[in-house]
Amino acid sequence: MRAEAGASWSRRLMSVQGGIGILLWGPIRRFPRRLRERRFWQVQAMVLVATAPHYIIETFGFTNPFETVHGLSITLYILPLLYAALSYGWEGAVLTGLWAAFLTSPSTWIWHRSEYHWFTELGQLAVTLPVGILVAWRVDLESRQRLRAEGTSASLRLLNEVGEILSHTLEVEQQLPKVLRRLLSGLSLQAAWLRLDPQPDGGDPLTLAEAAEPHSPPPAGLAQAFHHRLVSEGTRMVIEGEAVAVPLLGETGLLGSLGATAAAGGTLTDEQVELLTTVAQQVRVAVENARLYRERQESLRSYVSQVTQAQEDERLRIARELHDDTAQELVRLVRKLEQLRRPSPPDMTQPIDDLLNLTRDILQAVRRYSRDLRPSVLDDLGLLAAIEMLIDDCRLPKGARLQVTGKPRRLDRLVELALFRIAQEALRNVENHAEATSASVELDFGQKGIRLSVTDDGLGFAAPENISALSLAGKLGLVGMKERAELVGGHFQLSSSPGGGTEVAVTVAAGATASAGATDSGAP
Amino acid sequence: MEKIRVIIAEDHTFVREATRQLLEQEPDIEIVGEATDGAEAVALADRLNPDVAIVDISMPVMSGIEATERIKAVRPGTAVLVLTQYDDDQYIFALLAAGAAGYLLKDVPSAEVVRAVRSVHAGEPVLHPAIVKKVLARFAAEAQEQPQPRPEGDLLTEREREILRLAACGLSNARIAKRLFLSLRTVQVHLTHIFNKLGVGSRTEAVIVGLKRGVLRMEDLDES
Repeated sequence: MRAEAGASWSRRLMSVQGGIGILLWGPIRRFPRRLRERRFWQVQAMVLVATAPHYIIETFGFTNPFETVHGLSITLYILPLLYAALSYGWEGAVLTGLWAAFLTSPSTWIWHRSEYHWFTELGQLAVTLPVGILVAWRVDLESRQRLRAEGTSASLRLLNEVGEILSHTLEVEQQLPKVLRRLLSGLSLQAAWLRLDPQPDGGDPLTLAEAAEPHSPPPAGLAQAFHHRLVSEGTRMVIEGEAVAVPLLGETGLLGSLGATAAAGGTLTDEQVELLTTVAQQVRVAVENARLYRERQESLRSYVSQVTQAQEDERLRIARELHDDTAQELVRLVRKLEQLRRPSPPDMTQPIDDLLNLTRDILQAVRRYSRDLRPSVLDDLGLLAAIEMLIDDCRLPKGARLQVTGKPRRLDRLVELALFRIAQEALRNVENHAEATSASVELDFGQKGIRLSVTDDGLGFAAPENISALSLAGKLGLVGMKERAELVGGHFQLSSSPGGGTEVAVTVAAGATASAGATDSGAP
Repeated sequence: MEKIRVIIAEDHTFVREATRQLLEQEPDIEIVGEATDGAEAVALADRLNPDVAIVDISMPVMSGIEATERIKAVRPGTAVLVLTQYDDDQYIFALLAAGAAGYLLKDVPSAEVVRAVRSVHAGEPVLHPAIVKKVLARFAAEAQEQPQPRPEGDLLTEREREILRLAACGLSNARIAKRLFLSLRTVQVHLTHIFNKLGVGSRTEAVIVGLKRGVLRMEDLDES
């Protein structure tokens, strides 16, 4: 216990001594540089000038009235000393002080007139030199703090900029090269790199490397080598002060690593290493957020897709049931009533006829209901026939017009269904909201895919840039159309302006739904 | 007199039964076979060569549309009468294009079903006149969009073309005979020639094929 405490105390002492050593070593290291500066020597000349009057008084033995001022010239040292302190900091003041003491020493030990005279000189020096050096020390401290504050603010600015770059888009991976370039310019590094491991559900590893010199190749190999070492070590690595590799540690484990090498001949400071570590954290958070967001989007999309599919399946089932069971039973009823009618007494003929008419009306309604749920024309005859049916049903004053280009063909069932529903919804919108007199539906069966557009000559509205913003405006139908289009790999476009009508267009590239087509269960 | 030989293709048992019962009561109609899906109907038509095939649209295995096409391919002389629940124009267009001679909703009075069988057998159209107009307009429009490589106006004689034109306008054989001062028998002979030349089995088909092949033009249909 005691020994441990002692050891700890001595360690602390050593560290204090070490601290003082470091404190001194810094300025002493800077001495030679000062000696090369011309202005520094001018200051020393000022010290020489200040010393001259003292020696003149001393030599010629002027007493009164100079006796009282003969030490004043030593006091004047304070001027060059302070100048040196303000200009060159601590080491400047110390050098100047030493020079002044050296110049004064003959007068204190050898050359003084009276016996106690040297007290004056020593006393003057004892006041002047510490004051100068103290001021210099303060100046040094202040300027170092200012430098540190500037450094901190530069670091904060860099972090802020990196944060901005990363938050610019959710496609974080696109932004990473920019982050690296910003690090290169902000920290004057030689090279910086970033490596992202593949996600558990597949994909390729991503290695990005940037070099400060436009001609030198980006150190992609170095990035990989560092990353592999990092994977085995698991913690931050600083290699001989010249290179650093920081792990991107996510909640699920190592996501990748960020690394950099110092500018040629230089080393990385602790601040730079810390800053790189913080940037690594930022990148890690951004990458994780982006991945999480994409996962959520994906699951939301598949949820929407499943809900849509379930709804369509259910509609199909009910439509078929109405058609296959209910309607057939009603036909049977018609036949039974007819049988009943033939041999019936005259007073029963009219009631049976009424029943027959009623049954036919119900049958008609059932057919309409079944068709509204899911037109069998779509499944049996395809999109074109189903859209012709929509056109026939259109309730606009001048009706709707259909224009077909290309050779009509059957498409993937899900694509046909999606395009039909979009056309249906679009025409319904035109009828209910656009106050249009006519609409035009265009179907283009192109080689590369199919395009459907519904245009009206109605009121129109100010279409927002982002269609999702329409949900805020309550135009959920349009949002639904967009979602339906995207679920089958299509592209949805809306163009409208107040007074200029509205156009809704969907393009589905051929083969866009190769994966989506397998799940439809509505085959007859 | 020879009986009209009929097959019925219908997957709903009671509808099939009801149709058979009401046709069996007629002395001039004979049910020679029944099928429960489209493929069976095609096989049956091929084997029995019936005068009339009554076909439903929605059937398992093969839809009525495809069945109609195939029946007409193997047995061009068989007139297909579609008896269905669907009243969408698009089905009518598709079925007539496939070669059906008539189209009826299942809930029409029994007497109409019987009359329809006799009509398609006699080569007369079984369509609501309003629908005929629409159908013909559509086929004429299609014929204009895709012009035939060579006009076949000389395929029929002038007399035959006139008879086809009047048939297209919806006149019965008797009225055509009266208008052209011919005997009913002569009109029937002419129609048989027209059917043979166009390779069809009914007046409806003859009009559609005539429009498609440029023998008839839409303008011909407006005068009566």
